[in-house]
Amino acid sequence: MTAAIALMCMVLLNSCSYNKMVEKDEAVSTAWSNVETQYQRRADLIPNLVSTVKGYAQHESSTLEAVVEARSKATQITVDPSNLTAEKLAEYQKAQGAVTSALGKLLAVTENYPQLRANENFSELQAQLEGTENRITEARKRYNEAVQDYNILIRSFPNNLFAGMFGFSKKEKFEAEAGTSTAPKVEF
Amino acid sequence: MRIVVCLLLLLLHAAGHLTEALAGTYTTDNLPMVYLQDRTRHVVNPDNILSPQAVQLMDSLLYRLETEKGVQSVVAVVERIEGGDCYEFAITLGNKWGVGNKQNSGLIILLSTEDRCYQILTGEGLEGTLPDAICRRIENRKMVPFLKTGEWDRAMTETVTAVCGIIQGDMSLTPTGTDEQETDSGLLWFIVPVLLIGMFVSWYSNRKRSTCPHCGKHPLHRINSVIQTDRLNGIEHHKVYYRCPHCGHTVCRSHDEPFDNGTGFGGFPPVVGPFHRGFGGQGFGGGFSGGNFGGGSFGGGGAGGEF
Repeated sequence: MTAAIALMCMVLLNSCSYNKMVEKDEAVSTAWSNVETQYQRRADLIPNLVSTVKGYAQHESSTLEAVVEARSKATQITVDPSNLTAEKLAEYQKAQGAVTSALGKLLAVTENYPQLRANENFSELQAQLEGTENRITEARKRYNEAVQDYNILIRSFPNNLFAGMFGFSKKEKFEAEAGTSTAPKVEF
Repeated sequence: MRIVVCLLLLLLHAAGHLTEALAGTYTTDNLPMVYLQDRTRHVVNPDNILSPQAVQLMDSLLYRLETEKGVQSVVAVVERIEGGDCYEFAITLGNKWGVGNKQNSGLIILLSTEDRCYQILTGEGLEGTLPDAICRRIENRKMVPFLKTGEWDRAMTETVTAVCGIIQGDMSLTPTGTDEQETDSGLLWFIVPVLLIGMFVSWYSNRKRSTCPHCGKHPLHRINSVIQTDRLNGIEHHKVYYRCPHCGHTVCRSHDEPFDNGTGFGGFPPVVGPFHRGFGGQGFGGGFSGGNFGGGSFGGGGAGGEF
């Protein structure tokens, strides 16, 4: 009798936390798609930036090419939010990190072209780029928070007994990587 | 009661000023959010870098912006901020206080004169109206030239005027994005009449009980009371005598109660009574009421820089 009551309680408790798990899982997906949107936004800005810089700094073709190449590599990688494995995320993060450092180098190089920096169009493009980097940081932060919420829920008792059964597995967070948090090194 | 509250508020105020003066460097915690005390004030100017005229001009522009377009804003001009990074400070401030209403159309303009940085930060709902490029253009044309010469008043007023102009031109922004406030006041409209009716009923029954039935005007005074215990039936007869001081009419009111032999519980405490007194003590100090930030969030839009 007692065992039956305990079982009932477990099932009731669990049906309620199942909905919670779905909710948190969806929150992670939403946060992830926001991260991808912001990275896409940055990718969309790059051609414009490259053509503006080209007009003033013809001698920097290698830096410009590096940006274009990193961009095209990064845009090929997309991650399905339902399949956020550690490897997938690391691959995505590496590709986007390459864009970040290539862009950093390009912007550092533009310091040598006062005419370019005085150009209002360039200044506004740069503001858009900075704003996008800020948005990426914010989106990643929110994604990590959502993942943490989700992980805490599915790993705590008694949800951990059922989470695996319903296909809720632990998700991966973004990690601060070496190279993105520090300013890019400028080599001449 | 009111005096004590006033004194406490004054003390708090003084203490706040003292810590401000001592701190010098502002954090997102100790930056005084004047808007919370007075919803017509949006400009935070604790170091008195801006002139009162400039503050007044911007306050009136930003107040209009909130009433007409629902854009909740904070303009802060300080000497030093913690960390020295205007973007970090502004976004922490915005997300911490939730500047902006449900449309997420919050706006923060920050200038730190010693850290030599500035930032226009747009809430997620304002990014379409004020794209990063436009923020940068305003900064390039209206702000930075005057910051370089130390004309803080002019830099800030021109920036705020330009920003307000752009936002006023956007027809998609509406003043009412405050669903929360509406539901709040809806509940209030339900609670207030119920309380008022309750108060009136209790007051009326009290008054009716205490007026003289003979002349119908004057309150009765209690003069004597007698309790007769009937142990056989377990009943107490309570008799209370009242007299009207005007006409001398005497009333006797009696009621029976079960005999209290020490095991029973007392009656329920009066519920309506304390409300009478509770309401009298409340009241807001004069002036404008404080505002509430509507929980807007910032995703990193806007533009900033150093000068």
